[in-house]
Amino acid sequence: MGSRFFEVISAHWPVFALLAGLGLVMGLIAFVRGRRAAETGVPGGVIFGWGCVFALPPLVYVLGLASGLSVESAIFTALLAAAVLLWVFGLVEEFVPALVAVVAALFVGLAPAEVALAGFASPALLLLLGVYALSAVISSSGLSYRLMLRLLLRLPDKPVWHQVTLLGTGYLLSPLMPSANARMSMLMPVFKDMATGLKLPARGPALTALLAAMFGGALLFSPMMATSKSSNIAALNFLPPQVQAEFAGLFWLVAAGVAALGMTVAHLLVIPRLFPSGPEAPLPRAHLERQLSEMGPLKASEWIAAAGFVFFLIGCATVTWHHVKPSYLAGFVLLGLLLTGTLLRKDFQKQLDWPMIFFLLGMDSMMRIMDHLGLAQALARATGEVYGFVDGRIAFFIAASLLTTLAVRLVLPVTAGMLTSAIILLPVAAAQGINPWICVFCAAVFSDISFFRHQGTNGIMQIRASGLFELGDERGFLRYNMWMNLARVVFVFASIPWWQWLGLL
Amino acid sequence: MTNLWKNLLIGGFLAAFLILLGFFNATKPRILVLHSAGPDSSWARQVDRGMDEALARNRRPLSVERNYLGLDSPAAPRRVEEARSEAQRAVARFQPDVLIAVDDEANSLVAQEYVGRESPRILYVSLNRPPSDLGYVGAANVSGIAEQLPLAAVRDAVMDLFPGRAPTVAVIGVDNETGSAEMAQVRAFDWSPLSVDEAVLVAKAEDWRAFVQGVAAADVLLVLGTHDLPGEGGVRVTAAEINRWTQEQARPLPIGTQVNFVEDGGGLSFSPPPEESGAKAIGLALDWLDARDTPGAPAPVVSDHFEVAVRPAVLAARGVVLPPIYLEAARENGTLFK
Repeated sequence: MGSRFFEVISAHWPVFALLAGLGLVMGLIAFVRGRRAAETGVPGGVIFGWGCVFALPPLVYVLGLASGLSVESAIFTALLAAAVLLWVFGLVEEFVPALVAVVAALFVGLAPAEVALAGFASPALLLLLGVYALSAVISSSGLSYRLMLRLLLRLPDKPVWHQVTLLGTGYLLSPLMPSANARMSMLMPVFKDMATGLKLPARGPALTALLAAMFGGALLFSPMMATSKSSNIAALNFLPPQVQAEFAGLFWLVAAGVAALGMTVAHLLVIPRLFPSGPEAPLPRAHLERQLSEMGPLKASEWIAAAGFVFFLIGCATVTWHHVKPSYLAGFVLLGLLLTGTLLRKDFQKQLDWPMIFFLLGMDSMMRIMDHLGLAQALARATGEVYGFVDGRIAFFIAASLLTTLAVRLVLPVTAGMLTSAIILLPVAAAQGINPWICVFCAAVFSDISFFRHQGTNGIMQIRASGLFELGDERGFLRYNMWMNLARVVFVFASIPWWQWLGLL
Repeated sequence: MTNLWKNLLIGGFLAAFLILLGFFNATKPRILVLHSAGPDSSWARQVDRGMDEALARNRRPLSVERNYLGLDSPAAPRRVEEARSEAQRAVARFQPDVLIAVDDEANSLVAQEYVGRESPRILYVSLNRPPSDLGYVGAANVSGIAEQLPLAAVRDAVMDLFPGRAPTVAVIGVDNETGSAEMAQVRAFDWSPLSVDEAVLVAKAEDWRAFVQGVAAADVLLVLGTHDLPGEGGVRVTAAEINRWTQEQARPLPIGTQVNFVEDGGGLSFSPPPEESGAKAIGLALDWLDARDTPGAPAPVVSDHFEVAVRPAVLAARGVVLPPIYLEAARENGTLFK
C-alpha cells in the first residue's frame, strides 16, 4: 500500500505540483497581505477547515487509487471527502456540499445526468414541495396559532394541561411540518405569552417544565412519521421500492408506535419529577380570548390549510383503497394551494425551504452516484467486515446503530448526520437480513440525541439563540434532555417485540 | 357573486379532478410481481427485463408493483418469515388483481395461500416443481408457466462432446426450494446413456468447493441455479464468484443451467429463458385481465424453451470444441460472450 501510494503520487506529479504551487501562492499572498493589513475577523477554525478542504481530497484520491479503487470511484470518494469536510467545519450552508459533489460528478462525467440528478426526478420532490407548502400555509394563515389558543382556552387551567397543550400542538403539527425548528418557531410565541401571563418565576421549575414541553412537542415526534423530519423523507428514498411503498404512509407511525408512545409517557413522567409544579397564577384567559377575537372567524386560507391537512392524513390512511402514493397526494395538496391562490408566487419563492429541499434531493443523488460507481457495494463490503459481530441479531444491530449515529453526530449536524448514518448502516441491515426501515428509524431517533453544545440539535440551539435559557433553568433543561436521550434508546429496544409482532423481524 | 363563482368553480375543478382521477386510479388493474430472489439477482433482473419489454408494448393503464423476497442471500434463512409477512402485507396493501409469483419459493411461501380465492388471480412463473404439489391444478384462480430444465439439450450436447463414450455427470446446486425442485427434475430425467454418479445440494461456499474438488473423476459437472452463499467467517460469496471459481477450478467440464453462469465467466450453459418467461407472464396476465377476446384464465403452459450461452475462449482453454450450431444459436440470442 505504501509503495503504491508513492507510485500514484509520482504518476500524478503534474497535478500535485500544480496544487503545491497554488498552495504556495496562496500562502505568499496571505503572508504579504497579512503583514500589510493585519486582517482579522476570520476564526482560525475556518482557515484550518478550508485548508483541509484544499489539501485532503487529493490525498483521499491518491489513497483510494492506492487501495485499489477505480479512477472514477477514487475521484468521487475525494469529492465525498470534500463534502464531509465542508459539513464538519461548517464552512458553508448545509445544502451546499451535496450540490458540490453532484455538480462535480456531472462536470467530470462520473455519472450520466439521469443518474446524478435522479434524486430531483423522484417522487420525493413532490412530497417535499407539498409538505413544505402546506406547512408554510398552516403557519402563515395563523391556523396553527389559532388551534393552540383554542386548546389552551378549552383545557383545564392547570400546569400539566398547559404543558400538554404545547406538547400536543407540536405533535399535531409534526405530520406536515417536517422541521423541528419550524415547529419550535410556531410554539415559541405562545410559550412566551404563557410564561408572561402565568407570571412564572424566572429559572423556576414551572417555566423550565413549560420550556421542556415546548421542546418535546417540537422534537419528540420527529422520527415517528415519514413526513415529520425532512431527513426521514430523504432516507425513505434510500430504501428499496417495496419498502418505500409500505412505509411512505401511516405504516411508519404504526411501526414507530411503541417508541412514540413510550417517549411520550417518559416525557410526561420525567417532567413532574424534574420540575415539580407549585401554585401558579391563572392563565391570562382575557388576553388569549382577545387575541382569538382579533383573529376573527376562520379565514379562507385557514380553511384551505385545514382541508389540505385533513386530506393528506386521510389520503395516507386510505392508500390501500385509492392506490395513490403519498408523494402524489402531497403533489395534489400543492396543486390545491396554488390553484386556490392560497400560496402565491412570492410565497412559493419565499416560504418553501428550498435549501433544505436541494440538500435532501442532493443527498439522494449522491447515493445514486455511489451506487452507479459501485461505491455502495464497496461500502457494503467494508461495513460487512466491521459489523460482522451483529450476526443478524436485532439488539446488536440497534446497539451498532446507536454507536454509529452518535459517532457521526459528533462531527455532522442532525440532517447530514442522520442521512450519513443511514448510508453506512443500510448495507449492514441488508447483509444481516434486518428490515431496512428499522435501520432508518434507528438513525432518525438516535440522531436527535445530543450531549454537546456544538452538536446543533434542532431546538436546543434555537432556544439558546432566542435567549430562553436566560428565563428557564438551563441545567435543569439539559438534565431533562439527557433523560429523554436515555428514553430514546430504551424505547427503540422496547420496540423489538412490537416489530416482531408486525412481521418486520 | 363573481368571487363566489370563481371559488366555487375552482373548488369544483379540484373536487372533480380528485374524484375522477382517484376513481380511475382505484379501479385500474393491478399486477404484483413477487420474486423469490432479491432485486440484484441476475435471474430476477432478466425476468424483470422481459416483463418491462412486454409492459412497454402495453397501452392499457396498469399499476405494476414488484416485491422481492430476497431468499437468495446468505442471510435468507433467518428472514424467511419476515420476507413472507412483508409480501403478505404488500398483497393486503396493493390488493393486486394478478399476483405473478416467480420461482418456487414465491409460490410455496406466499402465492399458495391465495389458491381458491376470488382475488388475487395467481400466475406462477418458472415453477420447477409440479404445480399439483401446490394445489394449483384445477384451481380457478391459478394459471402459469411451469419450467423444465433443458436437460435433454444438456444430454445431447454432452454426447456430442464425448463421442463414443458413456460420460459421467456430477450435479451441484444450492440447498433451497428452487434447488430441490431442480434436483428433483435432474433425478427424474432419463440420462441414458449418460450416468449421474453424484448429485448434491449445498448451503455453504466451502461445501460447494469441497464437492467440486471431490468429483474430479466425472466428465461433466452440471451446475444448477447458483445464489450467494455464506463463506468462511460469515463472508458473503457472491453467485458470480462461485460460478467463476467453479469454471476455473473444476476438473470436469462445467455446464450451467442459468445464463448468468456464462456471464460470470463460465464456458457453456443451457438455460430456461428468463426474459421470455417474464414477457410471457405479462402477456398471460394482460390476457387474463382483458376478458373481451378470451374470457377466463389462460391455460397453464410448460416452457421447454431454452437458450444457449457460450464463452468460446474458456471452452478452447479446456480443449472443448462445440458443434457450430451451438455457437450460432448463442450468437443469435446475444449470449455469445468473449
